[in-house]
Amino acid sequence: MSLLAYLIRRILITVPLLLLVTLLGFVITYLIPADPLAMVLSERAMANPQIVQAYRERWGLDKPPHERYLTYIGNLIRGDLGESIVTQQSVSADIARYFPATVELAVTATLIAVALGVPLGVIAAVKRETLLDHLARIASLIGVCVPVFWLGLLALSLFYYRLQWMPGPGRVNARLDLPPVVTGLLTVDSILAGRGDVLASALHHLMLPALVLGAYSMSLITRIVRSAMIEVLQQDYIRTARAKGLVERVVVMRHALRNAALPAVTAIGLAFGNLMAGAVMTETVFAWPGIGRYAVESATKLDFAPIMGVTLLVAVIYIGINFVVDVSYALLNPRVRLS
Amino acid sequence: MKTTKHNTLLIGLTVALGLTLAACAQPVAPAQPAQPAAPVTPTEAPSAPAEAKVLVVGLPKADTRTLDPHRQYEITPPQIMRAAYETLVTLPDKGATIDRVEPLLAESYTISDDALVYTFKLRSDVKFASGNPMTAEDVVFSFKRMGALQDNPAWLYNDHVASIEAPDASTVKITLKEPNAAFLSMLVSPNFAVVDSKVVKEQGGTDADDAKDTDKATDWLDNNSAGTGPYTIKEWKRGEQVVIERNPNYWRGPVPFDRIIFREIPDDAARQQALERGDIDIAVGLDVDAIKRLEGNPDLQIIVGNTLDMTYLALTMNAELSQPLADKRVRQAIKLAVDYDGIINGLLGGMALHLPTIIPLGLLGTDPALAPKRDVAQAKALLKEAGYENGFELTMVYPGERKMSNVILADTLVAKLQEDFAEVGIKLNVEPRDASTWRADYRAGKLAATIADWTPDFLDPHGWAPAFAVEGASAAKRVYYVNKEAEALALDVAKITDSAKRAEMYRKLQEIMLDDAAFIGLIQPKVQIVASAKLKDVIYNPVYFLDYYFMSQ
Repeated sequence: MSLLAYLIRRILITVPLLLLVTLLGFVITYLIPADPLAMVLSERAMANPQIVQAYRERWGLDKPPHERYLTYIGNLIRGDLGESIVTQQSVSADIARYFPATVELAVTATLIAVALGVPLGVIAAVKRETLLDHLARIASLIGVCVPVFWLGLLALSLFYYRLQWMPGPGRVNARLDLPPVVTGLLTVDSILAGRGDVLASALHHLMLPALVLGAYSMSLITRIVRSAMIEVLQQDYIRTARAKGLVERVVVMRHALRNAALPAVTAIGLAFGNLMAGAVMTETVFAWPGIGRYAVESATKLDFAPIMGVTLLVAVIYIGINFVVDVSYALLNPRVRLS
Repeated sequence: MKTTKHNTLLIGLTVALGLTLAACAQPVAPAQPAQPAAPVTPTEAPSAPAEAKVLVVGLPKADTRTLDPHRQYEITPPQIMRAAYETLVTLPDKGATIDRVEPLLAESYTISDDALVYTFKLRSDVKFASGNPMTAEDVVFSFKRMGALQDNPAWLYNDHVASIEAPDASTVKITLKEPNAAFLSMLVSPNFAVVDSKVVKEQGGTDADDAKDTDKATDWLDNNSAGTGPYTIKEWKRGEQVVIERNPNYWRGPVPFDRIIFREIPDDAARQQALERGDIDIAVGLDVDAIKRLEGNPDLQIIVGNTLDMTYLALTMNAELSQPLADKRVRQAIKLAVDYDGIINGLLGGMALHLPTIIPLGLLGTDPALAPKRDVAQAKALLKEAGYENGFELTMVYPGERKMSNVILADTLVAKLQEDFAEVGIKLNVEPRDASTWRADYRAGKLAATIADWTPDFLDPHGWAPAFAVEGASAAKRVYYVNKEAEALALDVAKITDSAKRAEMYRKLQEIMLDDAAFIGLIQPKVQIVASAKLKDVIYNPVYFLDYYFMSQ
């Protein structure tokens, strides 16, 4: 099957899946025995029938549930994610506002996790049962076990508060004048506006939360790469390669790592998915105005449209990651077929 | 600032990259002569912009939904509203006194003897940030718009005002639907902000009856302002920060700060560290332990103020929900069983007042001496008299993991009550719920016993009395509170303008409600704000939180 046909088939499967997600989301939100208006209107306003009526009409809450659902799906098809009762803004605008901050954080975290996790796993496997291996294993165990918010607090109090190496919470130094929003990615926008001061501050602010957020993924990657490498290094063709007199570096990097990369790709994909969950805590600790906090706040306020919007976004991301992982498999190992 | 070699290198590289790009981008960006801060030249990039006097306020997770003064009704915005907008009347003593009001945009006012007609004479020297002079038309437009938008604060206007008119450019005459001596104190609310009608209309605002569908100014007002206040809103990045800048045309003369940044730092520990590092100048919402740790720091000052928030215990009077609670003696026994001192001193480190029933201390007619004291023996005697010598079981449904009045976890408070009740023989079963479902059940009057909060709408006991004392009113209906004497008092007192007489009536009302013991006051929290010791006149008040007009360095 060609890549294009495979892509089209995957997308076609995605549509009913997403519909199911919206239906489940709607039913769950509808079944919660609480009135979303009570979360945004004060006691006084709730006691005033005109205000309540005005709100019900504006958000279509006066309509029966099936009609509300169909309206929602109708709008969704037209690309309209609806409006948040809490922020009174369109959900797409809200997502456009919060998502870039999370993307910036998650991508940096993944890069750090891969850049540190893969070599650490390789070293641990090659230097098996040495001190280096033990250290790498302990580090990765800590990374997997320690809750991300605790790690975040620890990192802040050490590197920001005590040692004063790192800037504090937030995306950028609050006292700086910010460049106009183009992509929402502060690093990119500052480059576009030619603002070196903002770029430096933004990168500096990114390092600590990205490291904290990436710690779990890094540990996961280290562990998986290590065990995959150990397995591969015991294979016959490695012995053959060594027997041919190849330099150890070439054996490890070209022959072994290439074959150990398959499980690592899955791990990286999984890790990126996990980042979305970890982002909620990291964003709270580091005052990061991202999608994680938006999702939690919408959920606690029973704000239907944003809850669904974020759910769909996360579903699409997961589906996308799975797709990329599958395709990478096929590219990395010709024996794997796309089907 | 100390940096590692590695960091310095990285920053150096990124700055270098930025500079290269800055150099390329320079000719494209047009000069912006309107902006007072000149574009920072690349070589100065890493240093702070100019010598601007900037104040940074660290807020916990902000609940701001909008910065349109005629729509906002949340806890965080009033301090921002107050900086950008002003009202006809305000609190005296830089906001420290709350039981009376004095003119601000009004030069003087008169209230008719029957408390029905309020007439305001406006100051003639007030200009909006746009330079437009403030007139009576602006006041009429503002108040009518707030009512017509049918958003959260609309009841303040719609429930009370029969008509508003401007007989001349400097006079506003408001006629109420029924006599109400509390209306003047309602006007202190930032919702009664006077906006520049010309500017707001240009942005799509309207005060027409159909404003709820036709007004389009909110999006603009979320990121700009059109008031007479000392600052103007420059930008709002949702979930991140609000920036306000000095209004150079301010009618009382320019304020000391060029800019104030309200920055959200949701995590308490991170906010505290940012304050100690000097990245922020004021930290709001730190917990009691954090504040204890900061007490000895000579660079900081701790500001304590009394809120008008309260957390109360609600006991139903409906026998169908609880047979024992329907008996007044049982409710009184519970009132005597609660260890109020233990809650306030033990759990809250003394950072709360003990209010008697539902009207917070500090308001007209309140008296801390009315507050009930713990008396286990008498509580047991009352239970025996009511036929519950061997006690009974009671279920308390409450909002789990929620912070009551923003200061104490509901779980902690309920665990304490469970202990206290056990000492008089009442077995309290606890059922924590999600806040939204709990609220729905409590509002529907389905709960026998619970704890709940109430936040002030305005600074007069009238904000509490009818809601709790009148049969079927918003709070009263939740516990099926019925007492005709209390109801009559709560309604009659609003028609009287004589303060001494009103105070006496509110006292009587509280005594009746204490005897009924359906609403038992638990805590009225104090608020603690930690600020840089360099700041002067950081004064808390329960309406605006902090008034940045007075603040200086």
